Amino acid sequence: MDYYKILGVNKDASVEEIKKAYRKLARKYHPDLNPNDKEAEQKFKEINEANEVLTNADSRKKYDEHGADWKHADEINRARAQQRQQYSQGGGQQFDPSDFGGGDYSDFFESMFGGSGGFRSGGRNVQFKGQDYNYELQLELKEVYQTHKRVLEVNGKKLQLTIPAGVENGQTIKLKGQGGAGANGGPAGDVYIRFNITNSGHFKRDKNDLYTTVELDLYTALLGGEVVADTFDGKVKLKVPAGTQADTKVKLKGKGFPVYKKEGEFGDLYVTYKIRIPVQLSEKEKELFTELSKIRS
Amino acid sequence: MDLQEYVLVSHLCTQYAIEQSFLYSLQDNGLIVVTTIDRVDYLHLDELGSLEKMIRINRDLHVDAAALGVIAGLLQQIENLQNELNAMRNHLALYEGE
Repeated sequence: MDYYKILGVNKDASVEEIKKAYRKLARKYHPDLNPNDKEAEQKFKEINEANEVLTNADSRKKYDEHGADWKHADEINRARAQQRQQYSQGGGQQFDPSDFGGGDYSDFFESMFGGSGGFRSGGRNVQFKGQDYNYELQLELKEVYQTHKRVLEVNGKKLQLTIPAGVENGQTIKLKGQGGAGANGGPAGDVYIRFNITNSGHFKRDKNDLYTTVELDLYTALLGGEVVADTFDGKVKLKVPAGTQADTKVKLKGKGFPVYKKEGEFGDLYVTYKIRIPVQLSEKEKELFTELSKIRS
Repeated sequence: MDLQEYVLVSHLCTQYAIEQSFLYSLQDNGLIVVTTIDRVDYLHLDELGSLEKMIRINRDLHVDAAALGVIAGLLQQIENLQNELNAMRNHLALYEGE
């Protein structure tokens, strides 16, 4: 990780130039200004770390000297001194700076900032709410037709979540106080669960209403009759009036999707009739349809 | 009114290391609601999230309360648009694949 590159400044940039570059990038990527944007949050962590290191003369010097291993500069220098001493005394082990671990910025970042949604908040010893966690939960449409409980593993702990019937695709619910522990005795953060609801069935959903199509044979459409239609939780028998046109829409009140957090309330189901025209007519059928067409014209 | 759901403004200012004037300027700009009970000012627990967000933006970006009001308004607009976009996407799914 090149801190200078992250902030877009030269290696000989002054502290003022670094601060200016940081402020410009912080305004762009601040997580509070980019809610639910993980990329911006990550970027903000990086620029924060770069700023913290490069605006501190001591850590900047260590970073310039040791690069990614700057955090372990003191250990490295001690080991080098020891190494020199061992060599001067004859023999000794080779020193490998990688023994101190990689240059992962996040450890450093976490140790410095912690809490507050995972980003910096002034660095003073004040109470702050713990980190909020965002999760995405993928469910099938049929799974949100009824309220049900589900156990989720969030940040290493198991949470029992009640998923209310009727939750919408893209909707986010908040589990208050289930996030990271607060800093300096502050309240715990929250967990945000975003629902990604897939629909592989033949019902289409728009909020609480459902839409489906039912095929009618030509004769039922012409002469009327009955047809059985699927609803989300069973089947219903529908009366088809004589002379029903293609794309006629009928509304089945209360046969739609459950209304979110309103137990017992449902949207409507809209059934669109598609009329199936007979194909591969027999000679007799052709004769009769021709006769019919003559009567109509 | 359940006082357990409220935090003393003076206590909050100490805990968050902020000036009371800053907190009241947030109220003046419509960003938080301070509740007065028996002549003592409190903040409802539900307001804590907003307060912390404003403190973070203030400290990290050196934005004053008036500008925070503008930012909060724009963020609300973005959220409304995102909700609307989500509803439109779900609605559009009705016609896809027909």
